[in-house]
Amino acid sequence: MVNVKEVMNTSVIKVKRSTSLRALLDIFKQFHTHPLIPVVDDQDILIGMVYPENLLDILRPQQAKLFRSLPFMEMDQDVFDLDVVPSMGDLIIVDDIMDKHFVVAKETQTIEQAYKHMRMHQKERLAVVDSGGKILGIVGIFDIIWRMFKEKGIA
Amino acid sequence: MIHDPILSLGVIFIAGFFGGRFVRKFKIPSITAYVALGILLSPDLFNIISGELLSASEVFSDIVLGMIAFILGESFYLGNIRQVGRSVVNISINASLVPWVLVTVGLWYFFRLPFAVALVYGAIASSTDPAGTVTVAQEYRSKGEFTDTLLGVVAIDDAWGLIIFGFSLSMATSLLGGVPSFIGIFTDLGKAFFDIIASALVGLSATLLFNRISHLINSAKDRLIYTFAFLFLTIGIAITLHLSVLLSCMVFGATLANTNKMSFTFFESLREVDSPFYIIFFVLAGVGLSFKGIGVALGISAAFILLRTFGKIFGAFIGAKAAGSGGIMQRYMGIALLPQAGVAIACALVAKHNLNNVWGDQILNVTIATTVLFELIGPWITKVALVKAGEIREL
Repeated sequence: MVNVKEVMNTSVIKVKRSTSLRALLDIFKQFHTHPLIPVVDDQDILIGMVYPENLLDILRPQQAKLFRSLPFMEMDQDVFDLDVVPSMGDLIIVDDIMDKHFVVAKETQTIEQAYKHMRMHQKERLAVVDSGGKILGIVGIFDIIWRMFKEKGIA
Repeated sequence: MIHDPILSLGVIFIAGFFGGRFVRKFKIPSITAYVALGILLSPDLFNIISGELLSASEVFSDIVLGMIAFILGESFYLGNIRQVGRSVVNISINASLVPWVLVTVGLWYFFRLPFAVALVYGAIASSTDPAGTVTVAQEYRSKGEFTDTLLGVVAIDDAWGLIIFGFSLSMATSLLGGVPSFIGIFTDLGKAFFDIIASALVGLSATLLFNRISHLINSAKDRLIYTFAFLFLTIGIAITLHLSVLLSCMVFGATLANTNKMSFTFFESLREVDSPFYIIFFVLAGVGLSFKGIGVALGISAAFILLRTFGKIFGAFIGAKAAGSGGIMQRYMGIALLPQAGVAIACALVAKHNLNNVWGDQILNVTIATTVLFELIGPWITKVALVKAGEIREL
């Protein structure tokens, strides 16, 4: 079976935990659909993940994550009613809002395993890491489907 | 009356849907609407709910309390505890323990309630209402150190409250069922401690087995079924062995959060489907309100409110002082913690089923009555505290 390393995209846009909100927004703007941005340390070890919905946690990042784990909470942060000021673009950094719990694909996995992994966690893309947690690329459902179509002679 | 239990559930869901939407317009948490709905549908008023569903109320309350305890167990993820800081941990523990002690002693000494019953009241007094506090902070765009600490405290103090309740209920059931003698009291206390430790072991065993075979899951559906399976097994084993459902499930949640790297996905999958369970649970809590006992409970309700208020203020004061927080934090944190809601009602409903006597009815009546009051005035008082702390401008 084909290994996930053979289909992943290795040109990954990454950020550091010190990247500002303003710079992060510029990066997100480059994506068209379902972006996820890996956060890495100086050795390229994956330490977090930022999704567009994390941007809504900018007012109280720490509490937002804590409250998400409580029963009966109705936390609908209204994107049209955010109380933000321009200076927050530089004051808030990726470390404030990134998800520190995330799902990855291992470089040793087959595409079948990675596909199951995505279905199980309802994700459309996963970061691929080596045994030391270093990021190697990103694999998406489309990469896997495309590969299977190619094997059948369609793509 | 609707005789069919499934039709009753349909009525509960549709009325809950509209009731929840209606009260959210007034920034009131949905559970208030569900409890009010239960009161309207109860045998004492419109008498709509089927008897068959009412008799299943205990099963629902065990399942939902197990879910609540399991989900709150995630609050004990050590990474979170380290992140919130010392003052939040100090204030949350003291603001939970002091109301417990004061309400227990006050109701036992001044109202001559059995110690076991007063202990349960005390435990219910320690919980708060994170949803109400967050709503106020968001609505008035409150910002600053006081707000951050307050939100941190309400995010974790229901977890302490539930531990206190689990411990108190175990003690109370042992004390109420035991022989009233000096030696009898020690035997009962010994039994209660045994129950608590055994309940924790059930939760721990669930986590060990859960982690051992979780690699077999290979789809989102599997994950939900697997989570439900272990949750129901834990609840069922605790009930079969006459142990605490609450403590077993909480230890299960807390140990899972700290030992399984992917635990957040299991909690998430449960949260995606928990709302219908909460609607049934809180509607049935409202249905359980007994109008006959309300007059007797008025005095106890008033004392509960006063003692809990003083306990929260004094507890937060001690916690803030011990953590070296400033005077504003010491003076106003307690009043900001007054809202009380879902967890208190959940605990009261479980107490009603476990104590299974006139005390159980009274506890549910007092808790619902005081929750309504704390829900009405609590957010306003939280707002006053935030104004006094200088973190919102208007009053």
